[in-house]
Amino acid sequence: MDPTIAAYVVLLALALGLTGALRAEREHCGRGLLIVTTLAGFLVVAAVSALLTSQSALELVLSTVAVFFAAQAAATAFLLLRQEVHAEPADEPDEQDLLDEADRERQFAHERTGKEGA
Amino acid sequence: MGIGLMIDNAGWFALGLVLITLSALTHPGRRRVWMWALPLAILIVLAGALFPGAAGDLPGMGWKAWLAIAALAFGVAAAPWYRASRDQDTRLIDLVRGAAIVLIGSGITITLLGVIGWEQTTRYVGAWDLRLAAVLGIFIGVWTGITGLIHWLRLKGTLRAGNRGSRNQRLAQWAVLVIIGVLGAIAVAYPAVAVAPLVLLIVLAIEWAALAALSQPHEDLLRIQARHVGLVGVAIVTLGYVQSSLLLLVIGGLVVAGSIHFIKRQGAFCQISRRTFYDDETADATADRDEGEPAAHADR
Repeated sequence: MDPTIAAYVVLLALALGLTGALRAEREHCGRGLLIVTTLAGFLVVAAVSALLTSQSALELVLSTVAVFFAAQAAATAFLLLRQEVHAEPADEPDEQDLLDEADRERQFAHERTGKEGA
Repeated sequence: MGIGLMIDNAGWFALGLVLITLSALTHPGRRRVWMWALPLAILIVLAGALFPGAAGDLPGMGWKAWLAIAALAFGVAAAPWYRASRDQDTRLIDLVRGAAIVLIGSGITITLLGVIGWEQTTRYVGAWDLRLAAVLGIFIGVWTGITGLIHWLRLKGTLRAGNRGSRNQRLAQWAVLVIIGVLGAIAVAYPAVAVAPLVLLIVLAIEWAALAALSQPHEDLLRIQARHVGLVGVAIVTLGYVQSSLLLLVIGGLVVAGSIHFIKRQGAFCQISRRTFYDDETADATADRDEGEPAAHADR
């Protein structure tokens, strides 16, 4: 593979991750870490492709062990992410919407009383 | 090297799915079902790589594909599923232990893939970039795997955390790191005589990583593990380069970015943020043993 293309692609992905896709407020940074840990499960893809292209018995054995451990790591990472997402306080999105709605109502009411007071 | 193309064909769909999922998951209040898109994306790519083999389109690949599927199934079955009860309230130590397991598995995988890469590229003297990727992979893999293992043993109470080393000890550690770098450079430049430097590099890396992981303070463990997740990202980038797969390059970059975010901003975790981070979590294995209480019970 052309090193220049590889460098461009990696830089673009890094920039994407740093600027937009993974930015969340501080409360959700921990979740971001678990998300990328789950993404690191793509390691299993590399292991599988090494297994498929293996050319000797040694490579075959090594890559099979690699696939096993990569699958285990990926599954564990996903379990951690699932735990985190389930522990989110706003479990039901509808409930969150309701809360937002209530907040807005309260603000309107506050503004109205403020106006009436003036 | 056709395998990179095989990955990337399915990878475009997987990458789109991953990007949509990232924006959905980092936005609080979205439906949590989005998290299933991540394993789905991995499955799409795996299917794209495995299906041509399993369906018999590529001669000589069929049984390898089935072997890969079996190894995948065993690996997923070996994950600690019992930890994932959703109403049990977890503690930081459970999270750190889970991350340590992830690091052990990833470290072993990266090391083995580095060895395979080395095995395949020493045949071509001119392919120094591939050899560099292999040596880098071996080093990152050993470092990550040993760090995860030591963290795990520390949390189990098998190993005691050492003191932060003195200044001279730290200087010695830096010297060892320099030696590792020199050995790696020799192995990359002179593949004919590379076996001895490479073995020495692995041994030194094991020692170096173990000593470093033993002296890390307890409250820094998660941060260090986050750093190693970033290193895993770097390893994915090198693997993507070796296997000429654009998808792996992008994923590696995203993983590095996420790790940088976490380390710079030290985020909180919802599963443990109900209480202060280090109030009762500082009970390291050493402290537990001083009280004469087995660490394994105290952790639960």
